Amino acid sequence: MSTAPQVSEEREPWPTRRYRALQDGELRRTLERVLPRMAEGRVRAYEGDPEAEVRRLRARDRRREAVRNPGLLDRAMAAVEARGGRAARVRNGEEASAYLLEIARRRGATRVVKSKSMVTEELQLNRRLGEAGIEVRETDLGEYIIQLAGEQPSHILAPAIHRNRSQVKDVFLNAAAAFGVEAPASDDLDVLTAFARRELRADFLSADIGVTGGNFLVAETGTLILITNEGNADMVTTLPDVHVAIVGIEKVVESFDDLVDLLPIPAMNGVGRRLSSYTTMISGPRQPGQIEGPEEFHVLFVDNGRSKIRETPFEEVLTCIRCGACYNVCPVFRQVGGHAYGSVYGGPIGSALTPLLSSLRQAHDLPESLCTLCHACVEACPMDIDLPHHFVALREQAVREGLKPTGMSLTYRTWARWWESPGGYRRSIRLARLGQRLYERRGRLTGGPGLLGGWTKTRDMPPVARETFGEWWERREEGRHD
Amino acid sequence: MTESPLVDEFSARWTSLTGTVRDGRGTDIRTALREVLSNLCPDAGPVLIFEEPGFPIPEMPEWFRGFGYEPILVRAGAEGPVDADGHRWERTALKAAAARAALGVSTGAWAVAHTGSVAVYGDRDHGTWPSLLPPAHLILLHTDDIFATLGEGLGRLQNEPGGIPPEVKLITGPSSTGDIEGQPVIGVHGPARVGVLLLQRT
Repeated sequence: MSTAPQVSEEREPWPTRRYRALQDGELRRTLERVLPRMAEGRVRAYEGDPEAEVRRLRARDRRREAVRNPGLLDRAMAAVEARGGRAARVRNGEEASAYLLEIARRRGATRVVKSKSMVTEELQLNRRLGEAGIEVRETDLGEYIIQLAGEQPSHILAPAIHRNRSQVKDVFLNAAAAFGVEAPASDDLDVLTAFARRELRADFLSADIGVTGGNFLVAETGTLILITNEGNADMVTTLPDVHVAIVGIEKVVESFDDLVDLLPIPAMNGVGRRLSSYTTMISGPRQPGQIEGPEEFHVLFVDNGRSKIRETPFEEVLTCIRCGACYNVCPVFRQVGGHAYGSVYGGPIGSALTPLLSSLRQAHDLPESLCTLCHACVEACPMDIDLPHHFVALREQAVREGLKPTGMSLTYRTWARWWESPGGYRRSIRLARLGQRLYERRGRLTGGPGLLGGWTKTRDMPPVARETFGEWWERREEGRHD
Repeated sequence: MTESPLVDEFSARWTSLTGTVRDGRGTDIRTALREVLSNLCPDAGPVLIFEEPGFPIPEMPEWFRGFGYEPILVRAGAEGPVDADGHRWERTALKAAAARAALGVSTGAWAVAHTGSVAVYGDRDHGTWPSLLPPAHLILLHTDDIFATLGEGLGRLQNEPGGIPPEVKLITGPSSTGDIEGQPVIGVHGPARVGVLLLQRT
């Protein structure tokens, strides 16, 4: 089964991506300002709500049960159909876009409005539909900005977090010139937002098809849950004549009652609010006599690599609800932002999801190089996904699959063998004391053989002591017995 | 402050999200409406009013006219919504009317004090466009529809006699974004100003 690429073939190597991110002062200033605030928001929200932790644990357990229950998908599909919707399974981006193009062909539709959806990024839906002559408009403000700028999202909640207001104004000036409309008069946030409101309003009112993702889908009732703050999803789902929801198969939850604990989780953990501005529950197309809402309601259940994660040690990764809490606390993400991951899903969860959904060969740099195993992500995760544990497992797998350079594997293996015994350890210290003379500058080691040479390019380290503590202790003990 | 802790908790939460609350109980409702308008939509303009069966304030369109506003009435009917003259609304016409309205008025189905949320329904007899397209939204809410927790509200929803409506929207504050520099801005796509007029069930 082919899956859509999570990472592009011409992806740059990590050092290049890292260097570019670290050179981007504006990006780093914004990340530094915004991410800690969102992370603190989460902590405060829990402090202010004594019941929240109990609800979170129940929500986590329900999610775990749901991803282990493959039968839920059939029930969900039947429930959607029972309420007048249409349900289909698609394996990848090709099938998803083919389904949409068939609707567009049948209805003579040419204009699509979309609310933010990570799964459609994963499926490269906009590119595919665009190539078939369908115009797709992103309507989440952040997504709108990056779509106009021709960029990728840099944060799961705030896709344009890498741009400041004057850069956003530049994007809108170009767009206004291209659309032949009045440009925003300043880089005031209200002015920029008003420009987007006006332009997108016209798109909402004239679109033929609305495309959304889905935060959850209830198997019992076929209810689709959409959580937003801007209200764009409510435009997308009620104004066009067709609504197509594209939902990962792992988003299905069992019963309507589960929503009590689940609905607050994204907002509580992402930004520290008890609920987002809009929590919308859609159970079918419009009724006879009803004016609002779509005539056709479709739900596409997307696999795209998900089912191969089921029944593996990585299964719990599927319980992720995309709240962004791990992005906000990750010390690596806080420095480099989302683009440095070079994949659709950035941040800590992306470092696990990307290689699992695509292949370890393409993306083993993520669990290896973009994690310090500090465990901040697992502490913040409302689903208690043990990402550091999975990163270590993925690193081991990469070595077993021979994805690491031979020199590197050999060095680590040799190192491990020497340090397995106290004798080996002592021998290695004596050897290092002899060898380090070549690399010592002003009392620090500034170079080394093999891998150490690369490691010391950007850092130095203290040399092995003339006499180690162990040696000193031994000498002292011997002196006593004499 | 009122005698009811639930109403107080709801009002405090709703206000903390920049919403407006006016208690219309035990007072002249017309005056209360006038007051809430001065906050939500001070300049007279088109007002989209969705009247579900049993709409709590049937005089409302007249009052709006008296204040100088232009009421656009969407009244639930046996075959679907009709206008003030009893003519069926067409979808395109209603879309256009909703898009030009300065204020939308609808009745909340229920509310949650803990989160400061109000649920609105979208089905044959209820509409969500008044809560979406105009820049301001006024919600009429019976105080006995305020529940303590989200769980109680969802319980009510599951027990609706007509089943779960095709669209249910839980509104928790104004339309907002933090997408530029993480700074909060309100009124992106939906309403920037949201108000609740509390009513006594009669």
